[in-house]
Amino acid sequence: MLALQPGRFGQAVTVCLAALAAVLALSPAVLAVALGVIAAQERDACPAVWSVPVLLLSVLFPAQTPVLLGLLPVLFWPALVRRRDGGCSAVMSILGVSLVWHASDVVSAELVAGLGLCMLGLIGWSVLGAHRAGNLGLLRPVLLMVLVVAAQGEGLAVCARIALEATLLDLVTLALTASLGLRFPMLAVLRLPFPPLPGLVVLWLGIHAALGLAAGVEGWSVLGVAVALLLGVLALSDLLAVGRQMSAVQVAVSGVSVLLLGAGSLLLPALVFGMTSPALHVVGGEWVWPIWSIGAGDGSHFRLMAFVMVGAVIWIVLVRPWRSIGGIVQAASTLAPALARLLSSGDALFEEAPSLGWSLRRFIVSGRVRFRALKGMKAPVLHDLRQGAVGLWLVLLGLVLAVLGVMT
Amino acid sequence: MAHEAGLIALSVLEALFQVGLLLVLAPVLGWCLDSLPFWLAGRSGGAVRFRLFGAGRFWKAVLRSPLGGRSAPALTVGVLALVCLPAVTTGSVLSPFADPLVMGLMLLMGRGFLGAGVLSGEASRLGPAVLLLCLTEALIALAAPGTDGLGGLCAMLHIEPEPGLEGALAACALALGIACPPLRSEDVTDMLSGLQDRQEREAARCIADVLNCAWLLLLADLAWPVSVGLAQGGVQGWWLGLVALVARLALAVGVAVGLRLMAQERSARLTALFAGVALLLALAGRFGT
Repeated sequence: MLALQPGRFGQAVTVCLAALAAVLALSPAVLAVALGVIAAQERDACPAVWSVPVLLLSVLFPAQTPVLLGLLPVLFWPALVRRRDGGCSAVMSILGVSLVWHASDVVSAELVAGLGLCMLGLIGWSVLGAHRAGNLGLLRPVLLMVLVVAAQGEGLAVCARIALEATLLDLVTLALTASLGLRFPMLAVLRLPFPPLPGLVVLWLGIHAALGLAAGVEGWSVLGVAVALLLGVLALSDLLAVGRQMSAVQVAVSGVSVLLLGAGSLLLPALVFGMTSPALHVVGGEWVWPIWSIGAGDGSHFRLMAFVMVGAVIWIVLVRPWRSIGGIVQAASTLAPALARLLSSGDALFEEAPSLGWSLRRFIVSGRVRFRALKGMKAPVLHDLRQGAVGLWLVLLGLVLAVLGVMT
Repeated sequence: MAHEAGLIALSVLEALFQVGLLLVLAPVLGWCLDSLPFWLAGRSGGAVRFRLFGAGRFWKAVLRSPLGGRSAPALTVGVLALVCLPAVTTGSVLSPFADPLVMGLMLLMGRGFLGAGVLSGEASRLGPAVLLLCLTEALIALAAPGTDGLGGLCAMLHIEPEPGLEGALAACALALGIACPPLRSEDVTDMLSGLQDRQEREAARCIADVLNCAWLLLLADLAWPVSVGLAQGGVQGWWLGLVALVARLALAVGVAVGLRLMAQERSARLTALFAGVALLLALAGRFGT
């Protein structure tokens, strides 16, 4: 990660984009080796007890769902458990995406469930432990890629294309913020889920891809809604992460960063979709370059450019920025602290450990007492079981009925 | 060709009329939100005309000298939402922009720009509201695939009624109203602490009225999408849409005031309950057919 030093940001962008392009085309075995090398270089890597067997398994049995889920801690340990940000974590996201991409015969439902449990577990752990959660947004490209694989497995080409668009846009924003973030910390704002930033486009496309899958496939109704809610949780975690970043580095708003931010929010989706349109075309759909309206595949469109322009016209009428020199930069520099305050307001959740209610504490303590009593028990004393025969029959009958109900 | 140009001019006119009407209604709605609880308790609040005069002074000041700092984006967001959301009919030129998720997130962002400080419990409102907006978008995409934003949804429900989705959306709107109620005047006072300039305080109050009006319109559109008239409805349909708009907004204000009077706002349990009801209704509608 030498390339991610300050002053070498141009090189860093090249490295990230090259990694994005190269890794997506490599074979799974090469991927596992690369993963091993990176994991060995990392200081705060996943404990070897877990990572070495999982890496071995991933070489022996590639494309198995449990192995893939087991690889997630290896990938995201430094970013999510040690909570160390850096360019490396963006590369890990790219690696995770390519792992899912190459594992063509995984069970997507299990992967979604595993990812969801992983996220909720991390959030619960950090709330109970009174420390801030890591940058969970790193997991979003992987989740979106699972959608791509699932849609391709079901033969829904348009849906796969939409999910792939969201994945690529998210990866590019991640790579941009990781590589240019040292020079322009304001760019982290691009990942926020507020209009007209690209983070919102990712969220919107992701929700529509998940629900397009739900509309096309019978078993995905509940799962699609669950994925949409998971994307919402990830957007909230992005809010917290960006707010933390902005309040940690007292962001100085320069003209260049305002320009980059405006150009990024206006042009980044069109640019990314245009540049990756060959890959998108291979996945599915006709050859289009969505500039004016970004389609979601199910008939709804997000007309980002026109929306931004209408907003800009209203803003210009209200502010008339030509009246003061550098009016736009000045306006942006008053906005940055307000945004940071709004975003950091959510940190209160992680500042102190929640005081559990008395009933919950009593429950935990009584559970502990019972567990101890269970350990101290020598021989089980059974009651006379003959009187419970009716209950047994009822339970068995219920089971049979339940099975019948499931089968019909 | 001339016919099409005329249609486009009509839709532009409708958008302008809509934003003008809603900007006039915004102080009235703000007055209702503030004074109705007093009035119901048997006390008298201020007269509505003072609120309207205040708004008039604010807009005159905006026309004379430009807005600055944080209040400009907040007002931009409010006006943009008012011009985009479907109000009288779906024929307004900007109604294709009205995606519930986009509009909702934009309005939530605008609330953050309103004052120098952030409300004490704003985080506990922002989180559930974002999740509920995601749920709303997901339910619309699940139950009515192929609709384009709120305008498309209204048009589709006219042609093909779908009670499951309508019930789910009403429950979603109610949950949103409970989780993230419109700003009260005390909230605005809290946010403005430390701001000495009288004109700026007045301006922030007027902007809060605009944001509240936009938020209530979004909730009302979600709760009762069929009441938005169709673009092809003709003159009679347009008048019906206008009456329905007023009725819808009155209903939204009534529900918001009722929730506030009964101290049910910001209740996590009720929010979760209504979100669950929405999910259940939408899934039952999907599996039932």
